[in-house]
Amino acid sequence: MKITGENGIGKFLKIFLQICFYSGIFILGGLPFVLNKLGLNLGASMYVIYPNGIILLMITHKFINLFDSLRLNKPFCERNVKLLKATGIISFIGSVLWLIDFLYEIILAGSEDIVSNCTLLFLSVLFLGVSIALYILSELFRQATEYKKENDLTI
Amino acid sequence: MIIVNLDVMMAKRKISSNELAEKIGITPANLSVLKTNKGKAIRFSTLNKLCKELKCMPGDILDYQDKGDEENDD
Repeated sequence: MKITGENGIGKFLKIFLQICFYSGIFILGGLPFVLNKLGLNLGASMYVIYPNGIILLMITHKFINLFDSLRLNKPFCERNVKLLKATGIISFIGSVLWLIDFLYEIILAGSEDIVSNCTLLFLSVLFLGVSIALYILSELFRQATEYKKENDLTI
Repeated sequence: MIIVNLDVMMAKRKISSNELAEKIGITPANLSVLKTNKGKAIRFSTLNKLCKELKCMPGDILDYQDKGDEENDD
């Protein structure tokens, strides 16, 4: 299967992520109206859904741009290095937010729901792991970009 | 820093960029990179072909100047 190029997997991944991105905006935007209509009140959970939802949307948006470079056959460029680094930082912020949610549930809300608390902790660790992985990837891409530049300018 | 004096040798031999690029088997764009000192490195094979076509020594094409090293040393 073709990874890069006009009809590569990058193009389809980009379309899939675009669907996720616009669906996410639609869901986040329409959630208060749906809850209002159904007469439901999520309470403090709204403070979990929105910040983390926005973080996920930002990560998705960065990945859309990243997979776009696969379509253009230019994966090793300065733009992708910056994109990966920015996505890593956003993911780290997401990790901190999940940790705050976890601590809030444990300390302030006094939640005894073990499954919910473990999920929040797991998400925090997961996002931290992703942010570290993305930071390492951005460094690898930076080195690859330098090597490519040097190779391109070797006549 | 290393200076490529290719344009000087080309003028001496009265050969155009396109003609030289075709003879040594590189693209005119790559030859332009060499001529304008934007290149990072030159392969021995390319240098060999250049010397053969221009009937000169590597020292006639490459020169060393003791300035501007800071911005070129990576």
